[in-house]
Amino acid sequence: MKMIEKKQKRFLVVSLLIPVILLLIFVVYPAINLIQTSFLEWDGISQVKEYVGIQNYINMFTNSPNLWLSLRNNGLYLVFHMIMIPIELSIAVMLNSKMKGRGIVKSIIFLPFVISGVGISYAFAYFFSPVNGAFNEILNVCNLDTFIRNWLSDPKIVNFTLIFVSIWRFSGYHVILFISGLKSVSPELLEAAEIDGANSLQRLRAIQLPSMALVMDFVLFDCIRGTLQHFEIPFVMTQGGPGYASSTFTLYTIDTAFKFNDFGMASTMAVAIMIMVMMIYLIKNMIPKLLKKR
Amino acid sequence: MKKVFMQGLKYVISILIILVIIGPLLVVLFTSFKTKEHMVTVSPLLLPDFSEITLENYRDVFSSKYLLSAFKNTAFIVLVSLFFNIIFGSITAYALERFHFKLKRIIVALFFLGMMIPTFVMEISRFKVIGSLGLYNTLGAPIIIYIASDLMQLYIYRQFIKGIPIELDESALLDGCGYYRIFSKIIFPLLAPATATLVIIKSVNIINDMYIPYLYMPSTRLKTLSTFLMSYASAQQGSWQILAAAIVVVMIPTLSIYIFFQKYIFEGVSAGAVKS
Amino acid sequence: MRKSNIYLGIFSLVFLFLSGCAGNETKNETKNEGELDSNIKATLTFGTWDADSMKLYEELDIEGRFQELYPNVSLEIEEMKDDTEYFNAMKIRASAGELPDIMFNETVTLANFAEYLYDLSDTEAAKNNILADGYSVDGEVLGIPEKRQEEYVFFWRDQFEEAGVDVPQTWNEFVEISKKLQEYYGADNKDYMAIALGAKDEWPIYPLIENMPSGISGNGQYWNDMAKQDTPFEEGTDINIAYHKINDFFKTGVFGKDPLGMGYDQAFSIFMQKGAAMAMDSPIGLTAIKSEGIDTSNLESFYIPFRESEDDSLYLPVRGDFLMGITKNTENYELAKEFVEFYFSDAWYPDYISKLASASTMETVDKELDPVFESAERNSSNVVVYTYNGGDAEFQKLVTETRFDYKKLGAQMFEPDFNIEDVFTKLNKDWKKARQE
Repeated sequence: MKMIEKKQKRFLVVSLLIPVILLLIFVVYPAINLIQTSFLEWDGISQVKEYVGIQNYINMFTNSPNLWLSLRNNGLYLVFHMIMIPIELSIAVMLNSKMKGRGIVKSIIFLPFVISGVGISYAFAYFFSPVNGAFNEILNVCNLDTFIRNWLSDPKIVNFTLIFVSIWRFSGYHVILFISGLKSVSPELLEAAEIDGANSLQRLRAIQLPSMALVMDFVLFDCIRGTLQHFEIPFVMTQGGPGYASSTFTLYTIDTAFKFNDFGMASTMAVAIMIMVMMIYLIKNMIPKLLKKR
Repeated sequence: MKKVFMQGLKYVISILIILVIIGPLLVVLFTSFKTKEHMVTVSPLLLPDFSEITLENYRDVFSSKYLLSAFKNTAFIVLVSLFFNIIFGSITAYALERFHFKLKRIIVALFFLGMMIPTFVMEISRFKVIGSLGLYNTLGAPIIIYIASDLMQLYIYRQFIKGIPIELDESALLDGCGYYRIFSKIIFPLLAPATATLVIIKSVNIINDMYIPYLYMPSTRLKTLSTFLMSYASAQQGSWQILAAAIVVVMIPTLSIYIFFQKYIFEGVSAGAVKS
Repeated sequence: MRKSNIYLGIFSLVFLFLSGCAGNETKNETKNEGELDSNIKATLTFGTWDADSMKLYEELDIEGRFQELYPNVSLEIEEMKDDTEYFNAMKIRASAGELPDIMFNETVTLANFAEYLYDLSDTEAAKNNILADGYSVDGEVLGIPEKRQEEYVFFWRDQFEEAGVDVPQTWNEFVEISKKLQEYYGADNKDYMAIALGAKDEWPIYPLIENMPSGISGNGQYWNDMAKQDTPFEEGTDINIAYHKINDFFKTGVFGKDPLGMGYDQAFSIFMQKGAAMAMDSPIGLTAIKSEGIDTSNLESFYIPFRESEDDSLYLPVRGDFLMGITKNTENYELAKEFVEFYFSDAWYPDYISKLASASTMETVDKELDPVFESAERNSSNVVVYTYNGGDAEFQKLVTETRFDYKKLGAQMFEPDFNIEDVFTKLNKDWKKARQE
């Protein structure tokens, strides 16, 4: 038995050594550095760094209105992606049922995820352009031209335009994840339920959903992490404008660091978002447990 | 009657979905065949007359001298990072899933932390590390970052290994196999669907990532497809038809990977996450 | 099997190590002080965000020309999307000690990077440069401007004539003719813009929002003076007056139906196709027009009239742009200095600047004015030139503290419910507080 233990130890060391070292150098060390910087006043360029304690944290809560505006936008993304989850799930159920041509639909639905995000953002910037834009043209053709709006520049609308692009890009990915989740349910179980007279909704609730917990978990995690760190689409399409109307937390953090040379503050914000992601994730994990206790 | 209605509804929904997804892409494709004049005279939703279709925009893109090196650089980065991602990812997942040891909780927590950290601002501190290792402005920089920090492969592999009965390991161990042999001869082959999934998702992510190559490889010789597209877009000064052609060209690699591996995606993008 | 795994580990470490070496290679080998060997083997790096310069570096073969002096030196030139991206990257690189050997700055950024730049005041290039002294920091020349830049309003003469308007000489006239043009052409073409701007990108507003406060009285040190006051946004100050005027101007609809929905590229290309009567830009705009092969026989220009009456002087801000400096990260200081001298010498600069639209900054090099720019001198009367300063370290610090971002502010002026008084009140308050700290 000792032999095996020794062998096991050696195997563990050999297999884990490099990945863990890489992780320490390129992830853990920079993260610690980030936390350190959050206690400094530093313009990111100068060699002078001044220790200011928790001043940055205080400023973040008391004197950064645009940061909270940006965070509200992240919230909007999260809400809409959450609303999409049941819809994505229904589409997955539909595509999992007997239907001609579902292969084609599945192939197409995953397509947006595969294409370059930079390319998509450029494409949609022109799609919604006020002059010669395709979307306004569609409205024209359908005689809906009274609905034409300033899609990318009206502060009340711009976020929804960007959210549409975000949903366009990521929903198909979720649908495919759900489909594979549905597939993993054992067919015998479903058949038995069908014989017992359960209709498709009942089958979904009683058998398919519970066994999809892991996929659901992954999709939720992806939504939370993705929407809180959302960046690329507004970065290319609007640069957060007009004003800060379509800014997001990450975008504002980047502005703080680079436009206003406040790297200490930017690090503080980065730490904040890290804590937020973890908290939401932990709360999300706790809810089912609490429900069970009852 | 109800059944027919349901079937009909399904098709209506499917067609709607397809229109919403394909529509914007078709606009890009149509635009890429237009001349500057067409941009004003032809509706953005239509192709110009067949006889007037131009390939000039594509000629323009392909004549850009950095396109080829962008392809090469991207391919190299993807191949090397994928190779190590798969090796390290699968073996780490195996070690963490099958064995119990003192530091396990800490290591798992560290890997989890790695998924939480917002990348963009952290690059400031990571930059110093890359710089002091002399990796700055080399292909090594993005490669090592992709290997070290993007950890979704762990998630996928761990879930998948959970689904492999442990008796398999045990009987092999009794037969006198070493752990390396068990891993490489028994476990790894069984992970093939997860590996295929990884190949798709990771290569798509890496090819489409613009921030890391943009930050760490400013040299024009070291452009990747994404950074190529960015600098190409700014050099076009509003010639949307040329930019559209560039977008189409840059789409080609991920699109071909997708078509080639499509079968596996549907067998289990999240097969790993699902089989428990 | 175990062996293969160990090999794998070794391989990856070797790989790490190798890529590390590859990284060092791009830097250089010799550290030469004093006398410079013309056979020195090295690579010099620098970056630019001007696509036209980039083209010229290739077209005129800057590397080949420099190799006539130093045959074993190669140049590596990095191209960035725009100045924002360029300086974002430079900030990160500065803190990691990875700045390129040679670095371009703008007048606004020079103060930020001061501690990373060598003093070039003893170079011939600096001595012969008209503008370099104006941007010295504490008496040190940290960057030598390669371009002389001022802002123009480009316009289509035929559109002006058809609509029956003249070149404006005062601010009010500028607003009035814009309205007239918008009415005249906007009636048939709902996409028409009297002035093409591209405010989505924010920076295209700078000819107004950045220049007007100093342009009212021709004070190039306006930002620096602001840094010395507690409440510089008070009523009656030039910036207060200027921003009120711009705010009112932006509300008139002469920038098209959706000025914030379009970036500079799109707006400017619409101007090129005559979908707009005017566009504001530096000479770089003309380079863009010419590279599109557009007929410029109807194109003229005038200077933005910040003044109230024609009897006042029309103050024209002139700035040095692309200030070339040597960073302290270089391991080839002497060579980099030789390169700077070469860059501004007859071996390179005259050919280069003559192909750019911008004016020469060197006493030694004269350049013929393009007819389009010549027309500006004809069209605008009583012009007084002043050197514009982008703001010293003190000012930049206050900007950071108060988040005073004038370009973003300019974009916000397009929003219907934007209240400029509130902004001034808040800025005054924050400014005072920041100065006390």
